Amino acid sequence: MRQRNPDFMNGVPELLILQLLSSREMYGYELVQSIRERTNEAITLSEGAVYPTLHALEIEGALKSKRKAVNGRSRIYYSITKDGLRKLARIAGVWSGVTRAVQTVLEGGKYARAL
Amino acid sequence: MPGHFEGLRDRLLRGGVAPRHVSRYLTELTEHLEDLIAEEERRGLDHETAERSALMRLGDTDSLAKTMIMRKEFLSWSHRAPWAVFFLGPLAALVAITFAILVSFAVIIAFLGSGLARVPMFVPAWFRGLYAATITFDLFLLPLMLGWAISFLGVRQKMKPLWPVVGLVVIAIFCGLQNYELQWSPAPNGLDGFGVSWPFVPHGSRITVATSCRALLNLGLTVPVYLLWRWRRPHAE
Repeated sequence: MRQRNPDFMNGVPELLILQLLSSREMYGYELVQSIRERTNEAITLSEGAVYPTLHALEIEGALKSKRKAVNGRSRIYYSITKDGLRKLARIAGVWSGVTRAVQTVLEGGKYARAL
Repeated sequence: MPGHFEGLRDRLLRGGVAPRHVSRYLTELTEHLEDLIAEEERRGLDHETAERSALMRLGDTDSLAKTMIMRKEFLSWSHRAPWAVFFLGPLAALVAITFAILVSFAVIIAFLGSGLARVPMFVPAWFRGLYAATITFDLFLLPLMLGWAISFLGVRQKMKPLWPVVGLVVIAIFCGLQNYELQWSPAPNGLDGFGVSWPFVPHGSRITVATSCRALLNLGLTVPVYLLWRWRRPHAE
């Protein structure tokens, strides 16, 4: 079974959720499926665990929610707020910095072996 | 479908998650589960297998509960500060209501009576009836209402009984020993003074048989009701 949310994934669900919601509003199930598809199943969130993250972001003011009926099904849709966009820009910047730094170390290791 | 999450509801409430967050979480999980079952059925699974697979994808009760309980923002005040919710809160409400009653008496005398400056103060003829009704409410109904509110919160949150019982005992004693003092003047509709006192304040009223009986009556009508309610609630689920 694929391991879900290993330790280094802290903060990643928030980042992905905010990024996906920055383009359009979605409900929980839709979000989880989008994350899975957009990451080629490299990141698979525990499906039920997405809601505490969504609720926490809503309490923080980064998201807002409303109940909407679409195709005869009533669901809670989430959309990003201005505060959410600011938070997204901030954590996306941090994440880019971290990935660049890790990449540099990994590449350094590769070159060191080549020498 | 709702039966799938009864165990989770219980875990979350006992873990201190506020009922409004529990309710929202379970609603969304139920809707998510319906979507997952539909997805699995589209893959050709029969309903029973689809439901089993959907529940596995959603996560087990333990992990679903932990992700909520570990976040402080979802915890209820009765879990974070039970001393404030079950002890200080009701006590403050009681003092505030008593104070509001005294202020409203003063306002009535000031604007509809002779004023507060001279003794005896003259009050409207209906003041006696209003006074009797207000005191009956404050001494007999208010402690029960506060007690049942404490019981409701304690049972709804599946609290351990310590703080709710402390709150009930404090309210029962505080209300029971409370003594309104109204000194009527021999003059018709004349009032020499009014106030409220408790035995545990300096120069306060004395504990009498009547006040002790009131405190015991309050205790008898709240603590056993809470304990019975608490005892019956888990069996009902």
